[in-house]
Amino acid sequence: MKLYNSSRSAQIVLKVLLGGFVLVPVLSVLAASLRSPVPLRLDSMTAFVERYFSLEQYRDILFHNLDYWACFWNAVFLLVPSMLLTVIFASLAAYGLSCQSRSKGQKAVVMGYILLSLLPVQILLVPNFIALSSIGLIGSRLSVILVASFSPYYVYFLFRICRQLRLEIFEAARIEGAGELKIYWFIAMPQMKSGIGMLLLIGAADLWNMVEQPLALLQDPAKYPLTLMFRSINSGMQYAGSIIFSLPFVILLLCFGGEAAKNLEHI
Amino acid sequence: MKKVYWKQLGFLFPSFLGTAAFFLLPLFYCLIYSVSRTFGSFHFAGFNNYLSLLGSGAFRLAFGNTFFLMFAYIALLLLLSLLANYLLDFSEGTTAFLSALSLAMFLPSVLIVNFIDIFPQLSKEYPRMVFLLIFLWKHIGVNALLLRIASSRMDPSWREAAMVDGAGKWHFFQQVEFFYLLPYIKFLFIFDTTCFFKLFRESYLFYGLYPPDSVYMIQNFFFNNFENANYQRLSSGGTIAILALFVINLLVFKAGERREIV
Repeated sequence: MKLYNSSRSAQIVLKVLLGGFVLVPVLSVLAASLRSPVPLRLDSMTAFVERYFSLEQYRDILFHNLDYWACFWNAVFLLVPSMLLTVIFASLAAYGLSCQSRSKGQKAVVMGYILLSLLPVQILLVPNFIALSSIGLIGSRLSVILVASFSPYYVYFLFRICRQLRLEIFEAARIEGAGELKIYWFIAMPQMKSGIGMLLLIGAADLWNMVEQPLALLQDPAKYPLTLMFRSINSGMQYAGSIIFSLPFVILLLCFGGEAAKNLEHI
Repeated sequence: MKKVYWKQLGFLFPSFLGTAAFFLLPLFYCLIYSVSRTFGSFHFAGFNNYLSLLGSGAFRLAFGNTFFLMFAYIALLLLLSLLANYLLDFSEGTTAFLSALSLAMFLPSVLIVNFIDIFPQLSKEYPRMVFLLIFLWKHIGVNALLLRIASSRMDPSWREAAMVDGAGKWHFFQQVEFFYLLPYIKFLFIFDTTCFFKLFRESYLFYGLYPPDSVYMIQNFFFNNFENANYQRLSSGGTIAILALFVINLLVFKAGERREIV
């Protein structure tokens, strides 16, 4: 039985409008990235092609811009250790928490993590900054990595996945004589795999994009990741720059986007 | 008394230690230093820090802007996502379409910032409009998708019954579906507040640390105080912002709770 469905054409118009709103910016930046930074006179067909379909911006940014690569590696050095540590700490905590029988203590700890993750990162930066400056870590990469890898939200995220695992399996393994580390690594981790994949995607998208933590905690332009460099990039190659910057993510999304979208309801 | 698995509780320790060291204890210090005259040692100063903070024009501007824009942007975003959810048909295709749109959330800020930069006068003349556009662009997909998933979980027989009884689509939405969706809308509101504060990224890419007054927000205020290491101001400002957010979240949780769902 069809329920309250409107006409097909109205649906199509609506989807084109919505889809266009999201897609047009991406496509226009792509088009702008192919434009030659040098204005040419449009007197022939070849000149037209050179003006609007040139790879000069890409060449400039990839081969004539050392800053770009330095900042690219800065971003990678911040992202990879933070993600690794996040996965380790969050999955350990999620396993430890979900093993507890449903009790008030467990509820209180989980509630604490939830309350912390309701606060925006930008506001929590104030206490982070106070803590890090009192132990003298401001200015080192470690400060950004540490703050990122204890992000409370991801503990809650993995806990919700771990909570669905059946405790009897753990109990059975314990009776068989498996140690806790073994149970965590060989039984709990494989079952959390898709959750961890989702965490990596959300977390990496966020960290690749981060501005506020490096800006507040690093205070040294030589250590800034790529996003911060876009402030000072000279015009003419910014479009190609942003396309290349987004490329790792576009590839990731093309590979895992469908899977991620299915799991989005769990955020 | 339920059994505590002590060995397993140990697995929580590393995360708990980090959370305590970088989040919980500093929050406590924040509170302490906000009523202290000096930083590093405690000399009770009453509420002088708060009073001087509230007297500063920059803080009032930042605080006002942040919460005004937050409510305005999120209200618009939720309205538009509800509208999209209301107008779109129930089919596999729609869910797939919204899932594809929601991936915009993962795209880096530089992309959308560079798009706006194609029209340079936009960000100079209409900063609030530009921020709204960016906020909608990033989050309309995910908001509409989550509402859609919630809607499609609703028992289909309700809809059928309403239709048989002759209730129109709008009537059904207004009397039943909206109240069914209310808890999800509340969740989305809280999710969107954390997204709203991420607008600082775009703000920095456009204007650096000193944006025009109409979009000067609390994050900018904090950053100006990071630079001159004004800890008293940071502590009292942070405390006020955190309290305000908690109060808002609490009110949202409680809002409409008494009304019976369906």
